[in-house]
Amino acid sequence: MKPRALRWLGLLALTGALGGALWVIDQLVVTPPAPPGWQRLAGLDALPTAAHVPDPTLLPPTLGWPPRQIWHRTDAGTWLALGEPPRAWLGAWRGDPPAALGALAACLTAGPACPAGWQARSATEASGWRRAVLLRGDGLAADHLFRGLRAGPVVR
Amino acid sequence: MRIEPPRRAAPTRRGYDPRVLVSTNIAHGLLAFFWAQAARRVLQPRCPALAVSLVTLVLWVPPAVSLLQALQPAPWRLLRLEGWAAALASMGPVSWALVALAVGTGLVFVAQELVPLLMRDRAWQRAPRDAHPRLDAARAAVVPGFQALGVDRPPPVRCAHTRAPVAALVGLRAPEIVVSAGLLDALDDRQLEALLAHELAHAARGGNARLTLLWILRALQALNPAALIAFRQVVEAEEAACDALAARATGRPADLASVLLAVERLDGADRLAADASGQANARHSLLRRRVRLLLDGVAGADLGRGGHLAAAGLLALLLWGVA
Repeated sequence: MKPRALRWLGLLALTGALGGALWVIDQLVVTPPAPPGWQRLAGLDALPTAAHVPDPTLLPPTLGWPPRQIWHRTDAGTWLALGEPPRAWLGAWRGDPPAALGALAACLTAGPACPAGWQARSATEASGWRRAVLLRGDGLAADHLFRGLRAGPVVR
Repeated sequence: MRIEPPRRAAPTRRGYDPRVLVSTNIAHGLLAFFWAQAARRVLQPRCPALAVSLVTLVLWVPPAVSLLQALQPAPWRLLRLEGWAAALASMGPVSWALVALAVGTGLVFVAQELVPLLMRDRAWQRAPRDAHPRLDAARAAVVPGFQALGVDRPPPVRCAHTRAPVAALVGLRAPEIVVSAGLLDALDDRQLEALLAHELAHAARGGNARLTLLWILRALQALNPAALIAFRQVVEAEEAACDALAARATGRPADLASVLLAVERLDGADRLAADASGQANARHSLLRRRVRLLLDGVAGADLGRGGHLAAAGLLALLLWGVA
């Protein structure tokens, strides 16, 4: 018979290995976690009641609802990704957009230069908060989406 | 391009949505089942008491972790179930296959466990019972072996006046061992002692109260395929664990093996041999495994109560991060 300590070591190693394997598979299969400093939420109902949230009143059926990813930071607003992989990002934020938007963040800086196929629409409110639509699609669809986004409330 | 208002799902509080509860329970059950099977291989593959201890965790740890998550979500995530649900939902046929699996598991529970339990023939349990000198002598012979193993209150033994070849531990609060007159006549004294030792082992391992509790936990997870398989494994391994304990208490495993074969013969071996159904095959296979384990001997030891709780803690730690 194996010594008792060896048995427990085996069980501990098995549990650790299984946990590690689950984490790696999850990272590979499920979309990346929220960028550093941002919180990833499970659903819109998990947002705080006074959060700044992009709230589109009109949405193309191809994009789907609810959002697949929700990034939130109390002081910096909320970003919603529609589609998997994301085909649109809706943002209500202030300050810099999350770096995890990658090349798409360039759409929102001065002298916009979006990646090919992406459209960006953004505006700054008097309060300093900004709203934006980043859409993989044509410009007309981005205009419609942005019009709907501006019509909606920005604070829940 | 057609523009329409967003379709929004009614807001539900995470953890109280029945779909989330069921899918989380199934994910936890499957992971726990995989962990328990791997742990059996890592520890002692030939110790049935250890198998019972590990597989029992599959039945009670997942509901306990769901409660824990409702009170205190884990600060880390090993599996993000909402992401997996979204990925599966995007694969239409796969998500429907999973729904069909859950519904099918529920139907199997009703057809194979709930209905047979309600319709089980208990006529032999209603037959008049009384003491019998051969049973008293056999009990007196085996009880000291159990007392040496720490069993201080062995249940009484009664003879039921029926020809059906049955022996069982009956009752929850004041259990007693019942042996039918038909079986009493068919076994010699050594076999009778081995039979009583097996039933006393059931009492020593928690008896019907423990199995009833496990059945309730299994019924609460009726849609979970892992709970379905785990409960059957527990019931089968429990018999083998009682065989091993009885063999340890009497020191005569071959006698108990001969009892198992004798009961099978009395129960209509010819009829069973002619029955090629899956259920009959499973019964023969279980009998072969039990006899073989008795004759080959058991290796290793159970985890013990503290070890069971420690293993539960490890498994709970793993499942806590799956939400």
